[in-house]
This record gives sequence, C-alpha cells and structure tokens, in this order.
Amino acid sequence: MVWRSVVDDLADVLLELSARRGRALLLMLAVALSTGALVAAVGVSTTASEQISADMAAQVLDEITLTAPEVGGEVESDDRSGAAGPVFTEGAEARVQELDMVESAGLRLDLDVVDSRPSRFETPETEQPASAAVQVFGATESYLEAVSATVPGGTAWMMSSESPYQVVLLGEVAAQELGVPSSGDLSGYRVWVNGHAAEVVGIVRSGDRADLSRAVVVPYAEAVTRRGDGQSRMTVRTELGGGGAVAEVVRVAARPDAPEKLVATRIVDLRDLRTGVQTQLGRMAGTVGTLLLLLTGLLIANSMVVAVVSRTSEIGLRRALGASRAGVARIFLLEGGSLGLMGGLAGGALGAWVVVVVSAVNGWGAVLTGVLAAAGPTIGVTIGVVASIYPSVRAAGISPATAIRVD
Amino acid sequence: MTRAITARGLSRTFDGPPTVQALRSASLDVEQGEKIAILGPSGAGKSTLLNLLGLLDEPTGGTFEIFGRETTAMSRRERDRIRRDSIGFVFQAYHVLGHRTVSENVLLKLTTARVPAASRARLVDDALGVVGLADLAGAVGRTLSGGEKQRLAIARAVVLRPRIMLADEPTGNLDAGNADAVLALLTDLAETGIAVVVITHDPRTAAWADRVVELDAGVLEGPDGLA
Repeated sequence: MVWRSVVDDLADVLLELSARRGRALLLMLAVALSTGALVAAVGVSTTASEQISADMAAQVLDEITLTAPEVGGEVESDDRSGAAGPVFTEGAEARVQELDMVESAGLRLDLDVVDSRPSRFETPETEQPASAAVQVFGATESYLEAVSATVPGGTAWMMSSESPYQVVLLGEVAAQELGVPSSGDLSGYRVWVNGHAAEVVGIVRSGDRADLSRAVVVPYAEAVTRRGDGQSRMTVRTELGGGGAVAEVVRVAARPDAPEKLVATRIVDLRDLRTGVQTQLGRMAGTVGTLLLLLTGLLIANSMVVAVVSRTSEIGLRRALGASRAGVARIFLLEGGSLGLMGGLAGGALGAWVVVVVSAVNGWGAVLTGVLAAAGPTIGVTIGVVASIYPSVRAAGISPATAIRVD
Repeated sequence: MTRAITARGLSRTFDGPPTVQALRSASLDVEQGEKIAILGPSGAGKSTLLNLLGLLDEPTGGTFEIFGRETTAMSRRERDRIRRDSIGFVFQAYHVLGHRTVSENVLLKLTTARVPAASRARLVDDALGVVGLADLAGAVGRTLSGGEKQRLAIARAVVLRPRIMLADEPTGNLDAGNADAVLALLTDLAETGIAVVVITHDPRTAAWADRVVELDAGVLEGPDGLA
C-alpha cells in the first residue's frame, strides 16, 4: 500500500517535471555540475595523490641497500671459502662514503642464530635462547651510524671491519634474553658466540631506521670470517632527495671493477606521506565540493519555494480532493529527490569522465572506486531532499481554503 | 434517511487586524438529493460557508455534522478522509491543470484517494462519459473551452461518487448555453441522491435550486434557512 502510494506520487512528480522541463533541466544541470565537480575533485585528488606519492617515492628516498644479486632470491650463497671473491672489496665503504650526497654507508652480515649459539655460558646447549628472541649479525661502525643506532661512546669503533677485538654489542631485548643487564656497568659480562667468548661492551639502542632491540652485534670482520661476505649488505644513507642520484652510481663506487656483481635497492617508506597527501588533497576537494553542494542546495530550495508559491492553487486543489498535509509535502520532497537523483547520476558520470580525461592527459592511472561512483546519485538525492524540506513544510502548511481561491 | 448536512450556529472569525466576522451563527440543513442555492452579494460570506461545509476550513463556533457525524472535533486526518471520500468540489475558476490531459486531471482524484490502479481507467471513462468529454480524454487541459473545463471539473468531482457536491459559482464564467448544461449535470447528480449545494449570485442558478438561502453580511437568512 505504501509503495503504491509512493509510485503514484512519483508518477505525479514526473508529470509535473515533464510539464516544466526547462526548470527541471536547469535544476538537474545545477545538481549535475555540483556533484560532478565534487566527484571529479575527489577523484582527481585521489589520482593525483597516488601519482604524487609515487613521484616522491622516486625523488625523496634516502636509503639504498647494496647486495649481491642472489641475496633475497631463491639462490643464496653461503660461500665461506670466498673462492668466488668477496662481494665488497676492500675500501668499498670508504669509496661510497666519498660520494656526494652520501651521509653514511656501512656493512652488515647476518649470521644464523642457531649456528652462532649466542649464550652467557661456554656450553650453551641447555641455555640456548629461542632463535626468534635474538638476531646475530656483524656490523661495521658505519652501519650503526647509517641506521641511526645509539652506541655507548667509545665502543662503536670496535665494530669496524678492521677490529681485532672479541667484543659484542647487545640490544635491550637480547641482553635480557642472555641475562645481561641493559644498563649500568657491564664490566666482566661476556657472552659466547660461535663458541668464542666476547666482551659485552655496550647496549645498542635502536634508531628510526632499524630495530636493533634483539641484536647481538659482532664486528663485521669476525662475521665475514665465519660466513664469507656473500650475504653482506651495505646500507647507504643519503641526503633527502639524493637517493635517486646516488643509486645511479653507488654500485660503481662500491665495486669499480665489477659493478654488475651488486644490486642497488631503493628503500623508502612513504606511507605516512601518502596518507598526508591524500588527506590534504581530499580535504581541499571536499571543501570545494561541499561549498558547491551548499550553493546547489540553496538554488534548489529557492526554486522549490518559488514552485510552491506558483503552485498554490494546485496545492489547494489537491487538498480539496482529499490530499493530506503530509501528502502535499511528500510530493515536493519527491520532486526534490527526483531532481537530485537525476542530476546526481549525470554528475557522477560527468565527474568520472573528468577523472579519466585528466588522468589520460597527465599520463596518470585513473583511480575510480565504487564508493566514488555511487557518490554522485547518493549526494544528489540527499541534497535534493534536504533542500526540499523547507519548501515542503511550507507547502503543507498552506491553508486549503486560502489556496483554492488563488488563481 | 440521514441528513447530509446539519450546521448549527456556525461562525467563522478571522483574526485581524482588523478582526473580520465572516460568518455569524449560521444554521443550515441539507437533505440527500436536495439542490440548495446560497445566494448573496460579494463579501457576504458565501465562500467562507462553502469552505466550512467542505471541511477546507474550521469554524470558530457552532457545530457541523456530515451524515450525522460531528466534524468540529475531528482530527485533521479524519477531516481529510471525509473530504476525500464524501465531498466533491466544483470551482468557478475550474482548477483544471492545464499541462495535463483531461484523463490525467480526473486521475488526480483517484491517485489522491489511493484507488487501485486496475479500476482507474474504467472510473475515468465513466466520469468523462457522464459529462460528455469522452472524446476529449487525451486533450490537454489548457486547450479546453470554459464550458469544457467546468464539465471536466464536474467529472473530477463525481468520479468517486461523492455524497455531497459543493459548487462555488459553477456558472459564473460560462455563457448561457454552457451554464444550462452544467446545471443540467448537477440536476442529474442530485437525482442520484447527491446533496448539491451551489453558491451563486446568479438569479437563474437560484431559480434552478430546490431551495434558496440568502446570506448577507455573514448572516444566513430567508424562509428556507434556519437562521
């Protein structure tokens, strides 16, 4: 019963709209332009922010990792003999550090935690920590600098690849796992790595580049002695924006004789930046679109009020025929909603078209989500109905006795 | 037989400034099938009385019954329902929607009354047949002559067989020939048992009625009235 009433009212509204095509088309055009502008603005800003973040990722990276080609792939070398020659030749760090825009560059070599058997005791079988609890690797002083680690003064140099000392740095969690205090005097504390005792010379604190809390850091040279440097990696920190340029030449600097034996991988985390860009552009687009929608709402409301006044006689007739106040209000709400829906559909299509065209012109990949596609008609209906509330209430409040006397 | 209209001491005062007492303690009985003419000069309160009788307005005093049901204490929704189901209106200005066809004008009454879609076409055809507009069913309202518009208004008023017909100057804008045709239609309706109340200042229309009640300065007078 209710849906039949709505269908009757809708047919009635369409008759009225078709009778006033010019007005209806103008209002639909206004809704289409405003919703289209909103959809286009949001769509273009989303597309642009994706593109901007991609561009920035190429330009703003400030960290590069150099490895042998097979590291991280399916084929991994564990060449202890070094028969194929070292991956990083002598002086590689220094040569890379001399490059313009390079702030620091250091080597790291991960060791197998099970083979290394880090322990507080010489016979570790009964006290072997869980392999996930610590990670053992060799690192140079420059590596610790490159990952912004904080090392107790006077100890970082001991990690230098030329260091002859049997020393170790511990992360806070690793220290706890191995029964070493994470603060205070560490004199006399030793841990066993690969069956050799090493003095604990300090607690290394993580910087913003790497989590070292579980680290058991031995001198890089010692790690190479254990495993060869086939799995070594060099972390290169550059000035902001210098990553792209440095990445072009870093392999040659590290291995002038055979740069093809190294792979440079750019590392950058721009998730926060991308979110920021999207948020800011989204706010801008949303603000512009909302202002347009408000203006359109006012336009619809004004037009509907004029329609109510011009149709006062018809309202009187409808009341005389038995229409209730709610019935009269429903007619005008449906009219506003219908105008909004049709305008919103057109606006959604228009906005999507603009996004595609703008993206094509700029060579971007268009980003059009389902939510964005549904936004046009949804916003159109909403703005149409909301803008019609006041005119509807006004129409419903007209006295039929007065209205029927209006010619 | 239940009386169609029973009004007692009906008054309507409009708040000012200045305050206007458009109707003063009017009493009126109308039987089913009766043709009543309410005669009076402009400003006498004729339209005010018609609006009260048609439940388009509410009196500020008195009682008013339709087929024995007191209406002054009714809810707005109930008054809407009675107006929709039991009362037909014909206005001097026709109130034909010019951009709609003749059929669509009549259909407006049926959709307002939520008549099932299956029976609408037949009801429209019947009503247009009664007033002689069947051949103009597809014509647009604004193309009709004055007499055709008034006949269309009557078709719209009678399509659901109301029990009371209220007509405000139904012949006021018509020439003599069309006026006679409209009065003949109203006579036919009265003969089917519909109570017909016509407001007029035209002596010819007054002569057509079974009974004439005069209204002057808001006071209902005359041997046929109860005032």
